[in-house]
Amino acid sequence: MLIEEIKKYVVDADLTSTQKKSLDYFLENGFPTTKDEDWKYTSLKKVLKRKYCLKSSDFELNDEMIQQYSLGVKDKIIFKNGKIYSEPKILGVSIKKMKDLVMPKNSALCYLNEAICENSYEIVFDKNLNLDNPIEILHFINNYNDYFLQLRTKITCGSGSNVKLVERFCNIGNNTLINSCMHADVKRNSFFEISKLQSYNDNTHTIDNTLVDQDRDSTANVHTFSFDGSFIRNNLNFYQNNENCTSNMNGITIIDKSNFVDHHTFVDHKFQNCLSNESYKGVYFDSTKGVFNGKIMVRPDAQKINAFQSNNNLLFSDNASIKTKPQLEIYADDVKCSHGCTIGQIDKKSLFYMRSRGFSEKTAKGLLTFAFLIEVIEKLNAKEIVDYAKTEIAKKLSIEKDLL
Amino acid sequence: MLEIKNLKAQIEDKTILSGVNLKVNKGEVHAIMGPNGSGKSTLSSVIAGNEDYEVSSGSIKYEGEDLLEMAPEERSHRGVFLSFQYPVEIPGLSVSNFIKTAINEKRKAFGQENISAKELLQLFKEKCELLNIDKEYLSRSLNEGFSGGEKKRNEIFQMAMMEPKLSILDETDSGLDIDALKIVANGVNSLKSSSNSIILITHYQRLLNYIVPDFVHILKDGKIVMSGDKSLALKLEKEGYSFLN
Repeated sequence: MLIEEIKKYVVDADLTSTQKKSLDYFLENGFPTTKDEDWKYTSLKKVLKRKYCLKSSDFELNDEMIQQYSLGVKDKIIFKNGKIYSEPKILGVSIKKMKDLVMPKNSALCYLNEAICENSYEIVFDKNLNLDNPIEILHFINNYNDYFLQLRTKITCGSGSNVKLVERFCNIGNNTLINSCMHADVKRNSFFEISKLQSYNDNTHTIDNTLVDQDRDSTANVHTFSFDGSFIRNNLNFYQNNENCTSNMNGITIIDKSNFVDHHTFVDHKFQNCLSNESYKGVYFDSTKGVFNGKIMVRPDAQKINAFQSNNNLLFSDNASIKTKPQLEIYADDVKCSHGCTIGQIDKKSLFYMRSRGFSEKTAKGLLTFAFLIEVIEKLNAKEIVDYAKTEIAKKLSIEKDLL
Repeated sequence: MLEIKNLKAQIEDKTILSGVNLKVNKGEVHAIMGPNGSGKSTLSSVIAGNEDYEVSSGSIKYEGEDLLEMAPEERSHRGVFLSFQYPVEIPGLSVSNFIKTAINEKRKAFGQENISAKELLQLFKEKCELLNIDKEYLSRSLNEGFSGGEKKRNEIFQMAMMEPKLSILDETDSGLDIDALKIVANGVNSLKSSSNSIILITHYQRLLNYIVPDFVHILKDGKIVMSGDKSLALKLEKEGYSFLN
């Protein structure tokens, strides 16, 4: 049904030849199904069943709404249904709308995005630019009808730059399926960090494709916080295209009701002397479902690689489930790789110990869960992000934030 | 303070306590000794409210009220304290935050304000000195990487901070060297008053040289089979449990 909508939509659209090719690829392959290995546990069927429209309508955005979703950082890039609404004036930062923005792709959804996204932007951070504070990217979404939205952003971090971003999709409207593609081009000796704050309302279904290309001596950090939203699929890929790259991925997932979160990560170690570090922790309440698939590829010439991966999960309900799969493909011999995944419940002995000291069951469970997560929280540098994480975690665990 | 009558308890289908009777008055120190597997730790767990154990009959009255009806946290709020034989490690939760929250949870239960930072610091300082504890240790994760002796000392530190009415020290002496034993015993003695009571569970008479009990009970096969004064512990040390036969 959605495919028919897409076909109707492109009749009037003025597609470039690249976009046409991408469209053909998508139409040939269609949306991923559970027959695809990478989507084995993640069915889009229910999400795609709705009748979405692809055209956006305009809406009013005011400061109060912005404040509600902002972490309070000064510099913000704000989009309205994918269109730029406001941008900060910072020397060395420029935002350009692109007609034909070709980016690497990791699924048919990226081809679709390339074909039909009307608002593609490139955000360029000049070389040697050193940003002290993070910049917040806020996408406000509100449409008259149920909406299938394409977001498309390329981030270029010039060599020697230091860039920190916070990204948040704020759906204040009807049912929305977001298909977001972000490509970060992290040049030589630069530092790039993005924190993805996934606290959506129940009407929001998100597919987030983030691809990071790294050049020599660069560091890229992606922190993903998944707290709310009925359906979230994250595809996060790192490509280490030269020596001495560091890629860090951290994730905290705490979900309830019948929400669903899937983290698919991939690190491609192509050159020697590189590092990757991945730590995802998940807490699952009610009848939630989680998926974690962490793939690490070490190519034949990529010697002296250190790659670490862990995925630890706590299940709070008999109806909650998590499917976790580490996937290591190592073709070099002088490497150090480790992976581990755990699924468990709150330790009964610890719980009794705390209750015997006067902690209510709720507080004891909350603090034990926070203690389980702290390893990831300690890896976050920006105080705004730590504060956001603590606020959301306290809310999810129904304990006072002051306790954390 | 505490009155246990004909207490029977089991874990899964195994009966461990088969009719314990014990009365502890305010200001008294009771020692419970007994061979391995006699039910000493089960008795302390049942008093503290461990739900793994099922009480099949009998009663426990604490300050005249039915203790068995209370949740573990309520028992704690009302002044029951168990020093664990095997304290759990909680990585990521600092000693100071743990104790602060424990104190505030109790205050909250009685509708009181949280403890002020100043008051808390003063209390930490005082009790650290009492137990010869370096203040740096307050910022460490609870029991994580602590030696056996440090864990036991930490239990008594918590006891000092929470000022309970009824303390049950479950083999607090095991794992302590002689110097640490003296420090811990001194700490316990200084917390002793005419308004609180202590139950010591131990294998050895050694601890009782430092914390002198008013009564000594021998628990065997889930029952108190003999009670006496401190001389009973000395007799036990000399003759072993065989004299009971």
